[in-house]
Amino acid sequence: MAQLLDALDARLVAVLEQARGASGLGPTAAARYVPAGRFRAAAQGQSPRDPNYPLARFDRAYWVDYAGLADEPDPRNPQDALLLQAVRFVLTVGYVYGADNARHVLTASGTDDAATDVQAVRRRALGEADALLAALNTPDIFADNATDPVLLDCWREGASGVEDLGGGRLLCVTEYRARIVSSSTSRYWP
Amino acid sequence: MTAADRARAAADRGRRVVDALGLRETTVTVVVEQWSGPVGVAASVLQSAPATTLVPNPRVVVTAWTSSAFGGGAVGGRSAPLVAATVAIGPITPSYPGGGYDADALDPAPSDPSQRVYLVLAGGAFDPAGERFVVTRVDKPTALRRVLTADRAPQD
Repeated sequence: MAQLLDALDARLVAVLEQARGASGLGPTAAARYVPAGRFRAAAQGQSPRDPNYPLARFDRAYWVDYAGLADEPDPRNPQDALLLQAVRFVLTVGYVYGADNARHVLTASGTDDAATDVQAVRRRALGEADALLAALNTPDIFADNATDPVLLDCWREGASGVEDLGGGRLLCVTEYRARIVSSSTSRYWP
Repeated sequence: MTAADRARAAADRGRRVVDALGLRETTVTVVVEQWSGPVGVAASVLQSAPATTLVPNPRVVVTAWTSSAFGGGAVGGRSAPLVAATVAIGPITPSYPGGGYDADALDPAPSDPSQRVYLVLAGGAFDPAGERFVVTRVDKPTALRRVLTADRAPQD
């Protein structure tokens, strides 16, 4: 049986890894989708902050940390058929820097150059954070009436920031807030 | 053979005797995986995984522990919070005519993100099926020995 956040998680995977929006969802989606192969899921779904996280799988590895769930905008009325909730999640993406780490850069197609990427790491990180926001923020890409729960919208909370872990590893951290509409008669149990 | 090569050959013979006595229970295998695309990207598939088992078996000692989601295994504690082992592997004889290993064989550098390199430690204190480790350092304390430092890695 599906859990409450399964639909949201599947949508994030579709946006970040499967080029959702590339075709069939309109011109706005086609302009803002994330190309496939640009990012990869974190190794074994674990945080890139883990001290044993392998460097070879660090660059452009993303990790979703679900941080909170709340009724929106007021505490729920359990008699209502539909429940509006806000999910807070933190999207963390790893980037490598340092000349010797150029071989670990997950180069995207086109003009991406590993040698430049490891020098301009903060510029790369924040630029891609903005591109990810553009994709997640686009209703044609993110929202869906056919999922359960319904995916309503996705917004950034505050600013995207960078965090230097040392040893040639840097994280770009963005907090998001997604709103979902769930059914009070459904059981979202594993 | 140079004098250094003869010394390395002698050191290697001594290490083989220790191994033959059954005092080195852990096998160490260097694996270089080649994928069709960057490792971890959804569309990438494994194409080959040539492996080289070091001979003789080197000494493997756990030197540190780190709290890590990639911990566990036979030495990581089966009923305790996960810890990942850091191990010292060696001494390993440097390359000489007829044996030994050079740095590229012990810790091959991935040519690009489509290659993944790791060690498999099996037997002794480690799971007989093997546990994956990643080399973090290659030390060369003398001309007759190399010592690898490796951390427990994701087991996928």
